[in-house]
Amino acid sequence: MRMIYFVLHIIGKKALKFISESGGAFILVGKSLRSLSHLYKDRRLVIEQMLEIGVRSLPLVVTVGIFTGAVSAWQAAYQFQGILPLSYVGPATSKVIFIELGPVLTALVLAGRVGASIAAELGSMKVTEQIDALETLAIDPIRFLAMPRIVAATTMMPILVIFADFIALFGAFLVINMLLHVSAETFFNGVKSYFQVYDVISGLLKALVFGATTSIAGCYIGFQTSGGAEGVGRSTIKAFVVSSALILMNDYILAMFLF
Amino acid sequence: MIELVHLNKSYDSKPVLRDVNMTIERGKITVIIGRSGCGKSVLLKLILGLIKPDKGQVFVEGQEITTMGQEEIYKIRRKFGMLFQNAALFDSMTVEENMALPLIEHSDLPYDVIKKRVQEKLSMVGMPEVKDLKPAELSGGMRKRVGLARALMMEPEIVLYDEPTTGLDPIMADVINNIVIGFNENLGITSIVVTHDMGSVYKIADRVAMIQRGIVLFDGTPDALKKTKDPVVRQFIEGKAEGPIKINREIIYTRKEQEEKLL
Ligand SMILES: Nc1ncnc2c1ncn2[C@@H]1O[C@H](COP(=O)(O)OP(=O)(O)O)[C@@H](O)[C@H]1O
Ligand SMILES: [Mg+2]
Repeated sequence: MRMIYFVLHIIGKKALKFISESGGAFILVGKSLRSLSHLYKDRRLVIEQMLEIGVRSLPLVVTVGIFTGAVSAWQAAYQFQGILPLSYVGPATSKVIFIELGPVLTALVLAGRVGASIAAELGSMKVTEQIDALETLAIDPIRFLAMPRIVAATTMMPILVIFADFIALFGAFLVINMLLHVSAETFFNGVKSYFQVYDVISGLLKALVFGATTSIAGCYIGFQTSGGAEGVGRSTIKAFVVSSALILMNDYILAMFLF
Repeated sequence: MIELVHLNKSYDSKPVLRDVNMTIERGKITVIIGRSGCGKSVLLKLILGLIKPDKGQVFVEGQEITTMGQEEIYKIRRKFGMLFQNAALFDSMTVEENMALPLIEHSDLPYDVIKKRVQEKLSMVGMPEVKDLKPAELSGGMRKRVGLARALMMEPEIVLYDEPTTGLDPIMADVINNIVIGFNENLGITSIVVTHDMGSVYKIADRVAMIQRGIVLFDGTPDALKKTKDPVVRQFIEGKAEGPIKINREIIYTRKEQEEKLL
């Protein structure tokens, strides 16, 4: 009996913490949405973050893209062995890239690159009282720090995913053409005939949601940081874990709606 | 000018401030002393409305800030400047960008006017040539002076200083003391200084308040402080390990114990 009570107590405490944290995150989202009215005035801040999140992530996205495409083509060929002709590898790979692998893998990699680095940056500003300093100068940290990051991540993620999609397609083409000896013509005709705009759009919609989730988690966890340099480390890891988990959960939920 | 009424603040059910009552007068330098961890920084943050008290009120020029919304409180904060303990300069910006930020945000002044003001304030703290450096390139004393210059950019009526001389060499500490006095005398700035540097107290204070165990234990002039008979206050201002304030014996050894350990 005592045991059951104890377990319930722990679950209850965790549940309360989860609710209050989600509540806190929603408040952050609400305040960020309200500060969107400053979007034009603060465009410089937003553009700065777009460069930081978008352009500086490109090398990573290229790497992820090329290998994602290559490995999915290679494994599709393995699975098709004796069942389907190799000319189907191209279309199958391109589909899985557009609807799933492009957005999810790009977002997962950027959960570290973007979510964790936002949490680390804002977390270290928090523990060195720079956030308090902003407040003291009557500058709203949510408008000044969170809003530009969330806007930039939400808009850049789909762009990065488009980029990753095409790089991945190129990676798949290299494998299919050079290792599996399917001609370029067969590959591209196959991809073209099975291509559906809806696939790409749903992938981009996913990317949009992932970009928002990752950056919101990074900002929220960053602002919550306490306990010096050690606390910053904890926040960084937490942001990475939480962003990744949220991406996979949202991916499932969106898949239910989209397909 | 600022009134603190029955202020009470706990963290994780550990009381930090229990019942703080104080009036801070316009145009004076009020120094708040107390041991590390007694809640001095918490008190400054309560005055700025950065945190809310559990109980009690803070009045700034008769307006209660404890119940204000964000917009109103931001308006009140423009009267204030604050020097944080480690200056809290924005790492990603140069000195000039740090100082220009509040004016870029709150005024329509053209950038060359703002630049001139940056230069003027930097000269006031004796550092005319650092505007293009990043905070990481500055020493502790330089950071504090830039922090002071930044606090002046909005031409505040009240400046709060969180341990302005802690961690500085004695000469730099005196430079800072002189700057605090200068701001007060030349610009008429009402000053609240939090410190445990007694040299600084006697040099700058018009009035001293000591916080101990969450209440104001002493409140009076520096002369009255020197003459007080309260044993707790005496132990603090004389800096003695022995006395009514007990320190954890495992950490603080007496000289005899240390000698025994060495043998
Ligand atoms: N955000 C916080 N969370 C938990 N405890 C805090 C927080 N801020 C301050 N405290 C606690 O309040 C006490 C007073 O802190 P502070 O005002 O920083 O002391 P000091 O007088 O040295 O400036 C300390 O014991 C500290 O642990
Ligand atoms: Mg302090």
